[in-house]
Amino acid sequence: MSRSALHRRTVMARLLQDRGGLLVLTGLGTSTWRQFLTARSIFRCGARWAARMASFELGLALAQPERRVMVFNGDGDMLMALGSLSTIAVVRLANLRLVVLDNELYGETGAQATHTAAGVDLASVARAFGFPKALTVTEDHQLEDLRRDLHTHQGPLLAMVKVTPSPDPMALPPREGTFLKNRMKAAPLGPEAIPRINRTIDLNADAGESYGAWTLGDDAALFPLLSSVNTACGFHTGDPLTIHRAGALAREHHLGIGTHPSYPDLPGFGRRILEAAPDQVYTDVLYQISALSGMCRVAGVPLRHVKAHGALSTRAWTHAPTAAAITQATRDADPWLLLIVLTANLLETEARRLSLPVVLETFPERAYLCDGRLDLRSLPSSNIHDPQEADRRALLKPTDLRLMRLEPTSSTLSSSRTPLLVLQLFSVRFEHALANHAVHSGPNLIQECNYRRPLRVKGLQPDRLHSHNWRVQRVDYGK
Amino acid sequence: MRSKARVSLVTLISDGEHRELIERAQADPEMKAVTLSTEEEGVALATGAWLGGTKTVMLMQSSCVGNCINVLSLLKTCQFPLLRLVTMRGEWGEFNPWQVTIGQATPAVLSTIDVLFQRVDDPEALAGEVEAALCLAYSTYSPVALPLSQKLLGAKVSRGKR
Repeated sequence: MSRSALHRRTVMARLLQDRGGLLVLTGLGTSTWRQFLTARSIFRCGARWAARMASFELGLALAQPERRVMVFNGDGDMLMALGSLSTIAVVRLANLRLVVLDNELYGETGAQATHTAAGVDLASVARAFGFPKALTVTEDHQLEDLRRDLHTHQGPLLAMVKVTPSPDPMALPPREGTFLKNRMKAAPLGPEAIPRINRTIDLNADAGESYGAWTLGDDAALFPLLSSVNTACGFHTGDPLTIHRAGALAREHHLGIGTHPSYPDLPGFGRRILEAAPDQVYTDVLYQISALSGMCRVAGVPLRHVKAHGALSTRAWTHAPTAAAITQATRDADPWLLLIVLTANLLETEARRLSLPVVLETFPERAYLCDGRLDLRSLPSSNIHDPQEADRRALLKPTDLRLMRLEPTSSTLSSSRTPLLVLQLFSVRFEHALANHAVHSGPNLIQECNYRRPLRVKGLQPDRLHSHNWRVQRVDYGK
Repeated sequence: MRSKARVSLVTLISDGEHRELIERAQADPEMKAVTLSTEEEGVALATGAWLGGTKTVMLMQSSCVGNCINVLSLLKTCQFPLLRLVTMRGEWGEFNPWQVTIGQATPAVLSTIDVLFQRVDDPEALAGEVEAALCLAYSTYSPVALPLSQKLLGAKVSRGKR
């Protein structure tokens, strides 16, 4: 057989250019491992199940006739599911596309030849089954036509794209099934479609607040209690040594770590609103994200989120230019960063406008107004010091008043003000609650959101649990 | 099939005992009936449809259960819902020896791969059992099967000599 000169990565990048609303599924193996980082509306699965991705696609295409759905399959996957190909031809949906990246070998198991290497022509098979269009792509210039067909062709389409069997560096995808399932379900149907029992709670606190000779909080005692931390980056507190230590602790305890950007106001601990121009807010936030990101890289832990501190956050709730500056800086720094926000304010609105992944936070030890806004800290009734009451509220809020909606939630504890003893009590209760309440539904969900600290689960090895947390490599396939 | 659960897709492997149900689903303008080439396809199809917001009931015979055991593992891993109505063979009043082994093994196969199932013997209870199974599957994101016993369906009679 003549080998094609097309490269898998180039093919996928070209075909996914200007992807629009195209829903993308992938089969097993190397096609998947190129693809998964590029977008959220992607489902993949492991093991031999992947051979049935074409049928899976048929179901999705039936249920979503307005959306175009495509699969990147391997030749091995497709050969295993010829019956599915016949069913797809018979059902004959206008919105279904199959792209087979055909390298003529089983790449995952040691490069044994598949039947396509011996000349089995799946495009002809598909035509014989009744596909209105089925073609083999071997030349670069055919890719643009194929890309257009993915968006405009009426009827099922099969493209066998012959690619070179190149040993590309791998970027391993998340393995957690429910995480992938929910991500894919939310793509056509919105986050409301994610099953309620599959929500998770993230226990989060501010940290890294010591500065030079002044110690504030006890990070070493605090970190083991949490699932994520927001680290001060020197603008309201936090010196380089403290930041560096926070990164190491986050790695040690497998926490999600995030930037806690503030106005430049050391004496006021970032709690005073400054009249800063939006471009200044933008660069201040970008600067703080970049500083922590660099420190985290050295510590070997990926930066996970951004959560605006104190007055900067308060200002952004009601001041659109400030909200826009924070969200734009976050997105420009890294579009994969989560933005932790309180609900019902402009910062949330801006983050959603820019399609940043949003995590809604609730403060178990603070009171809320009935419209979902946080009550003023200066009011005595706004601060709840009874751990049992805080505990009750943390559990209530996710289901209360749609306050948390259906996103992963973040319960924030302000370490500088809450006594460690309260935190400890809370943490124990929290883990107990996670294990016993509907907010958590069993070991499968431990990694549902790949930024939650995994709890220890019987039968699962820690390294397996943590492996999803590491983004090995990002490949840019365009929008 | 027209239940509170609003099932709008039926996937099927052709089966004599399901004949009436299949024909009614095919005739119903609000339903889509898809004939499968193999059982594994149906499991994948139903999960994909559910991701797109459509609920499916899969119709099959007990001899098909063993054919899709591997794909069923996905349902547990991802917590996908699925309901299958399984007409039983190889039990009460069976005449065909080729049906007995897999028919007898069907409950064991289902429980091995963690499919929840409730056998139905009583025709009066059938509608309620289907409703309950739909609720169990789609509210708890679980794979569920309803084996419909040969006692319920009436044992198949050989066209040849007994």
